[in-house]
Amino acid sequence: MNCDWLKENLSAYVDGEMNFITRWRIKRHLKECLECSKELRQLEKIHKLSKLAILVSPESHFYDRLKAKLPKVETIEHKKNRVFENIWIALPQGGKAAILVGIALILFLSVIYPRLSSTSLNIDRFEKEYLLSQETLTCVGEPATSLILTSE
Amino acid sequence: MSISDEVLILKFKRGDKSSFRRLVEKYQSKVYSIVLAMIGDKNDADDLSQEIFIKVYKGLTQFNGRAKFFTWLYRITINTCINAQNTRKRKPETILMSYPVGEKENPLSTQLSQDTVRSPMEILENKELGMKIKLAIDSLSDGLREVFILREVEDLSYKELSKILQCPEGTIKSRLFRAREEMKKKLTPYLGE
Ligand SMILES: [Zn+2]
Repeated sequence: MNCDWLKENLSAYVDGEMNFITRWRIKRHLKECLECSKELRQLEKIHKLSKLAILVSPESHFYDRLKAKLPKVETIEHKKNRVFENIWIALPQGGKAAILVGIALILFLSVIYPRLSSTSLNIDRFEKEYLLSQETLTCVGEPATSLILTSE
Repeated sequence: MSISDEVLILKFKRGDKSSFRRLVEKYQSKVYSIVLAMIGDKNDADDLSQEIFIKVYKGLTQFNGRAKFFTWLYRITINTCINAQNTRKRKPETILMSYPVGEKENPLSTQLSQDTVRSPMEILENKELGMKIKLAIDSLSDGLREVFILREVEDLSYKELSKILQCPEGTIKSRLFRAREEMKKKLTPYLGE
């Protein structure tokens, strides 16, 4: 990592837009390079001061003044029984993902997995039946021989 | 826990007008700050901020929720500012004295005085620094100014900024780099290195 590359990418580094490995490499370079760490301090100062300079509150009673100008807007007709929809919308992204994974898992265990395991059961059953039939054959064979012998 | 934008929008669509008030109160300072930094005149900024929320109010029933609410809101904000800039003359001199009536002091001076400032002379110097920063932002070329302002106001990711400004993430990255280079050139004497 050289200083020229870093100076062009320091802005994205300040914004937290680098992946873990690149961040680590930049941090390592900054520990050793006075010039680049000075550059970083300047960027951080610009960020802090600009934020303070830009962020202001609007004049008081902003909403009250706005309210008087708002047109009449038709709202969507209220429908009953939207409890699940409300819960779904209120859920954070992580909760939605967990529910979707859960549904996928239930579907897999109840529909796909039994089909997969039934194939293996069939093989087992086939093997048992085959062995059973072999035994039956020998059992059948013995009395047959004895029958032949007795008949002689 | 604060109610998410999605829930507030849904409640608004069902007829709960107080949800819109909560949305406005959540975003009014940010929208106003962006508009003021873009336009430069306090009265125009107030009018335009109200205009933006009226547009939001009218469009909210059609808002489908595919994009995040703030992405949509900030896009309306930036587009409204650009349209206004095309029709109105910028008034950069008024940006310097544009602090709200209700606010005692420039927040920049207040913040700095908490850290280091003791004497009235130093307070005056920090007020001057606040003005220099605003002038530096104001002198950023079109295209650089909006991305810089949006990033400073909301700490949005490059992905979110690219959605709002409808350009690739690489463009966002290079514009922010160029904006900061310009800011650095103008503020070097004040950066203390
Ligand atoms: Zn270096």
